[in-house]
Amino acid sequence: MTAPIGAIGAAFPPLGAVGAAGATAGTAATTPATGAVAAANAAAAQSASGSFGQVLGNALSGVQNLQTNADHLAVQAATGNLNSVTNYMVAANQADVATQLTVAVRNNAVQAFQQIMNMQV
Amino acid sequence: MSMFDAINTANTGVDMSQTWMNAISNNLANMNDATRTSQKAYQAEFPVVTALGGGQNGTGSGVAVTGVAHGSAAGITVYDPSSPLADAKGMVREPNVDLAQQMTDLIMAQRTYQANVNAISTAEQTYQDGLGLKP
Repeated sequence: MTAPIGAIGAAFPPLGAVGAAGATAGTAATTPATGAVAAANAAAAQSASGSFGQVLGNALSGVQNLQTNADHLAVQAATGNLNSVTNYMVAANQADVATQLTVAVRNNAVQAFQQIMNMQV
Repeated sequence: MSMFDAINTANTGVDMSQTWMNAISNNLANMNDATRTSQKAYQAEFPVVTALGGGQNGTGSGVAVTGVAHGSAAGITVYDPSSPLADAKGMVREPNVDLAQQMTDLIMAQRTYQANVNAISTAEQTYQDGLGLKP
């Protein structure tokens, strides 16, 4: 089960550094030839790129850090210890955007897997 | 995380503006503090800032408040013989806080805050637009 997804994972190598996903994932999807280039870039950019599961796990732990930070600031806001209103809003926005991006990448990868599974033989 | 550089950079501007407004509020609150001529006057506070480097592709990463500069401790001496703090000549010391300058600074701090908040919300909206791309 994980082997084909691992292959798909190679198409989304920068997932660990969530920010880079938009840049390379798009090109990898449109032109198969760039897949190797994207994988090479990912190897240079991130040594920890492994199976899709590992990469997604790394991305989720990054998102978890952002969520924890936002929660921490939310508690400060509730207890009146918040230094700056925007600090909380920024942290909440970052957690929100990073979560949406990770979920979008996961959904697209699963969709690609299902398209391959539904291929007529 | 480099993805949120725009937001984090603008947030440093917001923090700086807030410190600036805090200092201005303090200056306005202490504007009329009279003291004996043998003592120091309240010294107006001015935040000292520095630009931060280390952003993406050689850009900077915002601004940081590194300290506070203080106005003159001599202030101005005013003739006010009815004050309990007056010396033998009837003089008291008052801070040399320029109300007009503080008010214009307050407007600048407010506009800086608003501009940086705008940058944050525009960046956030842009990230949302990026998420809207169809694969």
